[in-house]
Formats: sequence, C-alpha cells, structure tokens
Amino acid sequence: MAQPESAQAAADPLNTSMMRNSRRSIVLAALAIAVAFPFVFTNPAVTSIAMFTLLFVGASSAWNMFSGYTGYMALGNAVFYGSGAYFFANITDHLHMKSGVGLFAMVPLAGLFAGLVALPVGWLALRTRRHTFVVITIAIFFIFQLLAYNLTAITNGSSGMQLPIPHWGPRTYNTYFYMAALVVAVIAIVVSWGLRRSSFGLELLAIRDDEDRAEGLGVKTTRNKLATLVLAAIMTGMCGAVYAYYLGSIYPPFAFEAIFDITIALMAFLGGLGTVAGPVVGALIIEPMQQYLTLRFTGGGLSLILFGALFLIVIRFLPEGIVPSLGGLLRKRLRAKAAVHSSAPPTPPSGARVATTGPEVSGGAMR
Amino acid sequence: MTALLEVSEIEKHFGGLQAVTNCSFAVEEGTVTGLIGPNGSGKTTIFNVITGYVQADSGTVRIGDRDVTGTGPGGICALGLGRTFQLTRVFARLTLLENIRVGSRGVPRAKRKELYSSQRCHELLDFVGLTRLANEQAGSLSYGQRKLVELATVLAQEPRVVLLDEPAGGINPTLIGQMADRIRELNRQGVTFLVVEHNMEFVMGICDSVAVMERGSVIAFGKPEEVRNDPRVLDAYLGGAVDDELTQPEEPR
Repeated sequence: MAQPESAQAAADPLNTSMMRNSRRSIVLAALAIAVAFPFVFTNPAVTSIAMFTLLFVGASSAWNMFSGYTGYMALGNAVFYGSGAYFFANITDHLHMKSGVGLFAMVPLAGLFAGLVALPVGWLALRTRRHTFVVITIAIFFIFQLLAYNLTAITNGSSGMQLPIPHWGPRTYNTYFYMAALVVAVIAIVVSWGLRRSSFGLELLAIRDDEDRAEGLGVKTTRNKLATLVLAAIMTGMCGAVYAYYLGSIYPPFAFEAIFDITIALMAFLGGLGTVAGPVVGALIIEPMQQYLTLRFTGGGLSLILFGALFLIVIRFLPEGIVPSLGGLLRKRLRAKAAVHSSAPPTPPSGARVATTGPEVSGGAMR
Repeated sequence: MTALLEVSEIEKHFGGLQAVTNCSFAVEEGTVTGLIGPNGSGKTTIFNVITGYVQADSGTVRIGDRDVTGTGPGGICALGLGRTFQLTRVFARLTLLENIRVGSRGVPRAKRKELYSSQRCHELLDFVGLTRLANEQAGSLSYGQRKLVELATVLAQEPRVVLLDEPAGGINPTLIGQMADRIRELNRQGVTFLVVEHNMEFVMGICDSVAVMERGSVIAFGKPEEVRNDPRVLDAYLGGAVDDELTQPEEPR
C-alpha cells in the first residue's frame, strides 16, 4: 500500500534497490574471489596467511555478533576458541580417527561443545554489566588457560596434544584448510547478517543502547544475551577446531591466547563495531599485516607494538571504524549528487528547500 | 467504572530515606489521572514500583484483578502497561522506525504482524508528527522530539495503561500542546493514563482526577478543581514550614 507520508521521510541513499543490487554483486564477487584464491596463489606461505585470515574473519564476526551488537565487550572469547580446539583434539584421539577430509565433520561438533561451554560462562558473566563484565570475561579466560595447563587428563597439560596429520600433497595441503576456514567464515558472516536484520537482532541493538528500557518493552534481555553468546561461541569454537587441525598440535598458551581476545576485538573496532562488514574488513587488514610482520621480523614483538599503536589510532581518528565512516562519506556524496540531479524536489515546499541545499551542494563538490 | 490500576499501602525506602510511605491510590479505567507533588515526594519511585523496576518493601500493586506485586518490567509490559521515563530514554543509535519496532516481540505473537506492520509504524510516527525523520537516528533529535518517539514506541504495543513521567518537562510550548492533544485523543480511544507532571496547566487541562503526593504518601485525591483548592495541597506546594511556625507557636520543644 502506498504511503504518501513516508515519501517525505529522507530516504537512506545507501538503501535504494540499486544500492542493494550493487551490494549483492560485491558480495558475490568477493565470494568468488575467496573461492578462487588458493587456486591462483598456490604458494603455501600465502595460502597459510589467507587461511588464518579467514579464521579471524569468522572469529571476529562471531565476537562482533555478541559484543558489537549488545555492547557487552567480551575479552575472553579465546575460551571458546580453545574449547573448540581441545574438543577437536580429544574427539579425534578418542575415536582413533584417521586423518583426512572426514575429520572436518568434527568441526561443527567442536563448535557445539564451545556453545555448551558458553552456557555457564555466560550465566556467570552476564550477571554483570559494562566494565565489570569485561573484567569477569578476562578472569574466566585465565581460569580456562590455567585449567588447560592442569587438567592433564583432558589436555595433557603443557606437553600438549598431537592431532592426526593429513597426507595431502604440499600443493593442496593448505587448500583443504583454507576451504574449511572459508566455510566457517561464511557461516559466521551469514549468521551475523541474519541477526542484524532480524527483530531479535534489533533487540540486541536496543540492549546496547538502553538495556533497562528494552526490558520494559518486553525484550527478554538475559535470554537474548545468553543465546547470542552461545551462538558466537559456536562459531568461535569451529574456528578453534580448524586451527588445531591445521597446526597438528595444540598447547595451552596457543589454544587459550590473550592476544587472540584483543585481536578479534581490534579487528571489529577497526572495521566498524556492530556492522556486518566491519569485522570482515578489519580481519582482512590486520591478520595479513600481522602475519607478514611476524614472518619478516622474527620475534613478534614488533607486531604487538604496532597493534597497540593501531588501536590508539583507530580510537582517536576512526572511532566508528572504516565501514561506517566510508558509508557516511558515500551517503553524503550521494545526497549531494541527488540534490544536483533531481529536477523535481521531493517535497512540495520546494522554494526554501532548493535555496538551502545550494551552498551544501557546492561544498560537497569541492571536497 | 473499575480500577484498572490499584496501588495500596506501598512502602519503599532507600537506605535511610523513606521514599514512599503508605501510598495508596487507584486509576479508573478510561481516565487520565494526574500524579502531582513537590520534588522528592516519591512520584517517580511509585512509577518504578508499579512498572517493576524497583521492588517495594511492602504493599501491593494490582492491574485489573491481578496482583502484580514483584513482577519485573517485562512481565508488567506483557500485561499491557507501558511507560515513559522522566529523563527521556530512546535507543539513540537506532532510527525512529527501529525504535518503534524494538517492542515487537513484547506483544503476543498473534498481534505482532498487525501491530508492527510497516503502515502502522509509519502511522505512529505520523501521529507524533515525526514522519519526516523516520530514518534518522533517535540520538540526533531534540529533547522534546525524543519524548514523542518514546511515547510512539510505547503506543506501538497498544497498551491498556500508559504511565507518563513528566511528558511536558523541558519541552517547548508547541510540543507541550501537541503532547496534550495526543494524550486526549488516545484517551478517547480508550487508553488509560497515569501522568506525573509539574506543569499545572498541562495537568489541569488533561486530567480527570488528580492524586497529590507529599513525603511519600497521597494526601489528596479528586477532581482537578477540588484538588487545586485543597488547603493541604496548597500547604504542600507553598511550604508548610512557615505556616507551622505561625499556627503552632506554643508547641513545646
């Protein structure tokens, strides 16, 4: 049904059907490039970096669907990453599974296990808010790292666990892991996107803006937060399982790594907190950079210093992140363009409108 | 006429401060009831008790014939009671349309589609005169406009009772008039209101009855014109301390 009054609302120039179509083409093109990548770049050093990047795309998207949407800054998602990794190592060991593509079938199970871990973790941590929540998640992370060192029956302690090594040739070895990581990353992005568009996702954003008021409007805040954390944990756990399989061995400090917690958060901040594309863009920038720096300058210390610097720069100059900033810029451009080209102004009292948009347009064109 | 909302013998203290003492009143169905009183007399506390944001020490709250004492904000919402806040609360980074849609899962599934159809959401924005800003973030609005968005968000759920905490506070006279019009119109459609407000002209203009609170309890209840001339009310508003000294000089200390 046509709504005469809705026509008066200033339409979002990034949400027109043309824009939606071009956005769809971009996504499909990116997916095609991602699938073709390991067949074009066969150098194992490159595909290895690409595989890690995809794992971080998944893990950062997962972090963002909870922390970005609800505003609860979790700094302990490595708990789920490590849980997924250790579950994967354990189940392949107990079932005496032969190495091969079939092992990837255990990845979703590892994710479900991480989701199970998220239940008590969330139940505990989500009794708090804001800064307390951040501190609690960090504390829970260290408890899990300690458990990994000490529950030797499950984790073999600091001696670590060995996983079955696949017998794939050197040219295709990374490709299998790359594809597995791509699948996990795509799942995480699709879930994140679906959440963002759903009324459930809208409730999460409402919790971010004003949790108490959301509750008064009938939003089941605790249940929603816990459900989303479990969802994020499942995605993160799947990333952890692929990671463990790729490394071939797993040790407490690598499965439960504090840097991981900070990295996935930084990626989302850089790309754009609470947006679907933000963590993807952030991971695509940060992970290759970090891997390159680690390879180039052994020791890894330099990349950590650059990390800190980057974090400060992002917060100082791009507090909203790359995606929202670019979106805002594009929106401005398009509005200015539309104002120039439209011969018939959208609103009847046009005289005043046109007069006021005049200088704005010339300003936009100057930029 | 039956009481749709009934508060009886509510007590609430915060630490050493007795915010509400033996507070009782009832809101009849289909009326606009005002709740007035000097600053600190416990009006907002009563609102918070009714809507489940604060637990009373004792006393009961009833909606219809249901005892809802101790029910949380979500449960109160499900019973058809909506509220706005004194310090206006909108979802600042959501657009106006999104703000309205936040409550969609708080209504019964059967009514969700109808209440939150795109057309009705736009109608609600039109109702509060903000259609033009439908896709703007609520955080970019003026204080008064935010109050209207807050009201529209509550109205979307089609509540039976709406509690408004200072709907006219801090907004310009044009918007005050608009707010009063909207309340009257909704009341004609059958919505019951309980309104906390300091603006007397506003209260006297829209209310069928008025409850006056002082120091945590209701000291007077009646039609606006009765309450206006009640000596206890004048006393409460103009300050009893001077009066006390004048009328009771011989009281032993």
